[in-house]
Amino acid sequence: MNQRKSFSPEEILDSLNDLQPAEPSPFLFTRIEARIATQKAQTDFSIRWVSRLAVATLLFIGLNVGTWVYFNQKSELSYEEGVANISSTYSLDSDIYF
Amino acid sequence: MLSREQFQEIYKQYSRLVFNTALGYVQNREDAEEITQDVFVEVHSKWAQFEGRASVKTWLYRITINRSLDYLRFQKRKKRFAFLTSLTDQMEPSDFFHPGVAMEQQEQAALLFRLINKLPESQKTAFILSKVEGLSQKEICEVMQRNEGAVESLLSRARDNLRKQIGNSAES
Repeated sequence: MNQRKSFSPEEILDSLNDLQPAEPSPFLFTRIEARIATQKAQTDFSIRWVSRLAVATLLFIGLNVGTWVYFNQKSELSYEEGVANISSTYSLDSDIYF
Repeated sequence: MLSREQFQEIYKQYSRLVFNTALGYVQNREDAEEITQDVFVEVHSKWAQFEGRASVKTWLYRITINRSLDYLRFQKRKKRFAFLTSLTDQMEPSDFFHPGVAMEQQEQAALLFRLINKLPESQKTAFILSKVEGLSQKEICEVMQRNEGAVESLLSRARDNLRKQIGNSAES
């Protein structure tokens, strides 16, 4: 039933001689445009999220650095201020203690 | 950046070229359309990088060839790992139908394409560009970025290999 015809090598090699160019589907361009639009939307979405994440990270780092600097300066000042305050409150001569 | 009109113009001018070249590699309308989509999406995204050292046509041929070979490699890998087909590591498109081949030639063409698929990639590309696309040797040199001697040798080795394989398949 499923008989296989035999062809000469030249017949087989020449079988592409009369090859006609085929046409792609008429809807292919619409499909390509839709794919480009989807890809663009995905890229925009990722860019939006990456930039948001970058801003959030920068804010987080900035806040931490700011807080650290603020409290470090503040603690040095408050130590000196504290000593001065205590000595003035109790009318102490701070030289005795230093 | 390409405007919609420019992109549509490029598509109109070259879609047949891209589709038919891809068809030469995969011999299946759906797969060839998939590759054509990939090619034009790449053209759209990389248009700004196109330096114009080669013509648009040559550039498109190169993208299509690379995409088609990637597709075939992917199919081969998929087949290799597929359980049922793991014993037959061959690319044999079961649903061969090339719309450009005359009905009475489909059987011979199916056999020829099956054998073309077994050729090394560079011989396959040279043969497809010559036989399917009908490019001149000079044009093949530009697309493949090889000199004329190299292309001539690829084509003659491809023909010899095909003749040998046809002989083998007739004996078996």
